[in-house]
Amino acid sequence: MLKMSLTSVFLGFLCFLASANAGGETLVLLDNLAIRETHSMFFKSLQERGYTLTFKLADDANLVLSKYGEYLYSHLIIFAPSVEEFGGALSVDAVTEFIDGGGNVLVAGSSQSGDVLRELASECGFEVDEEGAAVIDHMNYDVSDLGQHTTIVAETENLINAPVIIGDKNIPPLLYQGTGLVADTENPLVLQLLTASSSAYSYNPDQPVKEYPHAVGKNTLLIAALQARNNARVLFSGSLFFFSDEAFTSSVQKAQGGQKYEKSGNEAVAKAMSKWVFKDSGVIRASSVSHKKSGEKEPPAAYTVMDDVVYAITIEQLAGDKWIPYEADDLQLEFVRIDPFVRTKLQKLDNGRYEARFKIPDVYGVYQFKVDYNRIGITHLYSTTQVSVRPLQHTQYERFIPSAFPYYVSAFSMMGGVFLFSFVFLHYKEDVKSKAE
Amino acid sequence: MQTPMWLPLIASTLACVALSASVSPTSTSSFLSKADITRLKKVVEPGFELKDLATLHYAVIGYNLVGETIPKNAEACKFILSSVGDASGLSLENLYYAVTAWKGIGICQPLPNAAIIKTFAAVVEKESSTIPEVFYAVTGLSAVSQHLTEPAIVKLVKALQAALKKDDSILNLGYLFHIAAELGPAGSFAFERIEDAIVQADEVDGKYLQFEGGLSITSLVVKGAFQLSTNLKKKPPITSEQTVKFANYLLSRRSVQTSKGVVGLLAALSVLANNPFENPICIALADGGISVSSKQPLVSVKVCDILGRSLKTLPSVVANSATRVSDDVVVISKKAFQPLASDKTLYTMNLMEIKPERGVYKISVSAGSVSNIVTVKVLSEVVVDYLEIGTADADQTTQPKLSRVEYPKKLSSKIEADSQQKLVIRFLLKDSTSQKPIRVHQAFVRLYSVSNSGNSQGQEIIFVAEPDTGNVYKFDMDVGSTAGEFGHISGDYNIELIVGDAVLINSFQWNVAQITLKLPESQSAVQTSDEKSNLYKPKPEIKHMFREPEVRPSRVVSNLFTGLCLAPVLLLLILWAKLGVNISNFPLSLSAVIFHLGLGGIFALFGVFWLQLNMFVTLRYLLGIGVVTFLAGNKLLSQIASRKGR
Repeated sequence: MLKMSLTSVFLGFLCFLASANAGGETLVLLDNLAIRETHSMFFKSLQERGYTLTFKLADDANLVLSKYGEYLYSHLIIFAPSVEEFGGALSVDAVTEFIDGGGNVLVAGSSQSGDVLRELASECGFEVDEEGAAVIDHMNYDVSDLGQHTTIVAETENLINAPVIIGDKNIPPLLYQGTGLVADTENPLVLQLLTASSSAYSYNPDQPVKEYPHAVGKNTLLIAALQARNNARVLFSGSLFFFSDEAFTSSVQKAQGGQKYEKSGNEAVAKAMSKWVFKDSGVIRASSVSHKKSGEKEPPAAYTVMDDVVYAITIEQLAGDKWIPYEADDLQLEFVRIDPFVRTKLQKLDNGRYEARFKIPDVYGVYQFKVDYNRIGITHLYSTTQVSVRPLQHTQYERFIPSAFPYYVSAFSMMGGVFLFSFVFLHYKEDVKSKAE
Repeated sequence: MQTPMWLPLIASTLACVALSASVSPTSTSSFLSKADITRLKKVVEPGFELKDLATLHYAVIGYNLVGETIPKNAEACKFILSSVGDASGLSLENLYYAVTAWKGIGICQPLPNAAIIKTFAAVVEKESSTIPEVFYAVTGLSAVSQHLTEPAIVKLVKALQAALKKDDSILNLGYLFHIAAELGPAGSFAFERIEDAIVQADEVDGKYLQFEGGLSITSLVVKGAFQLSTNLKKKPPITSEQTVKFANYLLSRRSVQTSKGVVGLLAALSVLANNPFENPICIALADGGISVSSKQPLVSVKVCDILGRSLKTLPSVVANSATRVSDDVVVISKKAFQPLASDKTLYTMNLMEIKPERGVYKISVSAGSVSNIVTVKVLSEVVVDYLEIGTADADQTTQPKLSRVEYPKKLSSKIEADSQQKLVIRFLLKDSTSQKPIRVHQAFVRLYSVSNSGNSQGQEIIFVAEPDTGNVYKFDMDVGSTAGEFGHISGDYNIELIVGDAVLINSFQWNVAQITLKLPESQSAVQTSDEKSNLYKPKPEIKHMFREPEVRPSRVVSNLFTGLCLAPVLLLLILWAKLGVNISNFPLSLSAVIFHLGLGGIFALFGVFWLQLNMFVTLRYLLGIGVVTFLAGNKLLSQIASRKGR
């Protein structure tokens, strides 16, 4: 029990950390400084949202993420597909440690992804296809394709169903050019943000298909994300081109016939995804928790079995630098003694307040009110409040049980009888004289 | 200093040299198209909202560079004049923006020249001015057509050289070239610094040359260097290769989104395109011309300058060679492109005349002295010669029973297969023109569930069909051993053949047949997938099952027994009433009354205890009443005993 309450404190602390780093210092690692210009729209949108971007070459000899145990940056962008080894104090271990410490990472690869990115990806639960391999789709390639059908048109219907991550789905198709990813399907933390269509596969376009491709059909991940258990977020795109000014501004049209869209949906999705990965969206917290017996004002020292209890929680989400009420209708409350005894829906009231009413089970012990809210793209909300539930006092049992009336009656009739009999026994006067008379 | 390299006479002889040295292309592969210009114009356009001088300056200069008339020039003039006022309140930079924008519009009312000249001249004369400040001042002065006097120039040159000694960063050098270009012959001191500047450029991918700091600095230096050289009429110490690489870099930055960048890019490109020494030429495939097929047999290339204009002297465009990428076979050498009458920048060649095999070809194109390599694809149409589908026993004891399916029809009957069988597909693909069997990059068989139940595990499974030596594609799927991939979900699946290749015109997806798979059962695989998908979903509700109260006897029975229990006492009372009890021995003493009251009180207390008191309170009361009753009872009994004894 102690351990549980400690974790809840710890998670609460993490929530606090999450709230503190909206905006903030961001390190951008690049292959060459030209990327800063070819991806200027993306970087500009980040700067407009209040991020301080520090551009460095990925093999800069003076790279450091932390100094004296404190992280210098809260976010890391790696737009350096071909880097073979990070410079300075940066390494795959340093980046994973950064993620373990709650840092958010955005990585973009390409067909020429270096080993260091491959290693980083596998640390996060993705696999990047071999060097030289690109996602090919002979059915859904863009008119601007350079001949190998690797500039593919990704349909928005293949985006994950999570508006909090990818924003509005009703946008023009997306342009993608890069390598394919695969995720371990057993890993529940990996989110498949964008998948390719059924006719796509990931292979080296210059070589005939001899082996089974690394990724085929809908299993080919284009963009994958991970929200770690400490709420750190990692987004891995197989395409650096996806974030470029060129992809943001160019038109989209499938070469094999198809509607022409003046502007691709890349910009909208990239912005929404960057908002998510840097915790501008999908960050929630429980701001207040209260519980009490129905009809009372204050929580009791201990509940008694079969009490009617009212539990209320206020949940807020981060919007910019403000916390606003969070609206959802799938919140659940659990009443747990090792196993959940009650799991019930939290009814939405107003201003992000939720309430549940239920009857405490007829089993006494130490319980927790637990809200464990884990939804795609939203930070893990975990709030526990410990209460004790005791059995009925002897005065609280049922008093006038009809089938026990014989017992009551015999006891009291005995008492009444003794009372009356005491008079007769002590003060009886025999009528001896009158008989004698 | 015009070099003879541009003479078309010897251009063709040089073409051979260019071919042998065609490691790096000597032309750019892109140019500033109309669409690019429109887009760039859009970037600078907000400057005409007349918010501040800098953006207006960029908008005006940008419009001038693309040869567009300036909208709302009257308002713009008014804005400039009102912003300038008497020229005292503006910073040097803003004054420069105002003056150059004023010049760029060209039809504005005169500015308060005297005050402006005074401000600029003061900067020029001040020795502590930085080089960018001097640049603003000198350019500003020339914009109001004011030339520096001879002694002022001498003094300025000295000051500049001194400043350079302190800080000769690449940015300062870029500004220096611009200043020197304004100074006439006296600017030649800066000419020798061009080489210093150019060697500092970084090469990226062997294709681009850029300065650290990106577009703004690169365009500044390139433009300055060429402008200075033009004014001095000396060929700059920049090789044509370097020029091409600079042009490549600048063209790669066409997507620039800042108005400053747009103006820098346009200015540098137009200087590169118009200077008398080195004009990079663009050789590129015309729009959408990458695919060549029997329907569209022409390879068309665009030969133009970097602004998309036709060259002054039309060169002869020759395909030096065409090489198939897959096996390095040269299929063409020295074939001339025909100029297109309608567009002077377009040249075409019929590649299909030699009936090349489908594939990717690299064509080395030379136009005059420059050459480039373009990549084209020769496409062909694929036809399905035949396709057979059927099932066979997994242990291969029997011949497979196969039935033919015509493209693009679907097999009319359903195929059924269980875990002892395997699914067999054989098909041959042919080139429609040559009728030769071909191999394609993508020949996949996709099976997907007919009832798309939303279960991501069982949705689609893709297999690769392997070609044999005769290019017949074979696909065998052992149903029993692949059950795991289907998630052990039996049911109807569609079989789809996906044939695709970058050099096919008609890549297709063909729904061949429907199959009913009977797969062996397995529990473990299904369960894990459920657990994963449920992590992010609401969990099922739990309602606590309260303990059932025990069954009680009916009311009648308990009432009956209540009556039976009451019966003795009632009987006693009835009998007493009948017999009559004489209790006149009751002594009228205090102790007797107290004893009986006490005894009654104790019983009453038990009653109250049952109803509401707890044990401790009861014991406390009981102690009080009990002691009194005991004493009173003792006294009463002794009274009775003494009375009886009498």
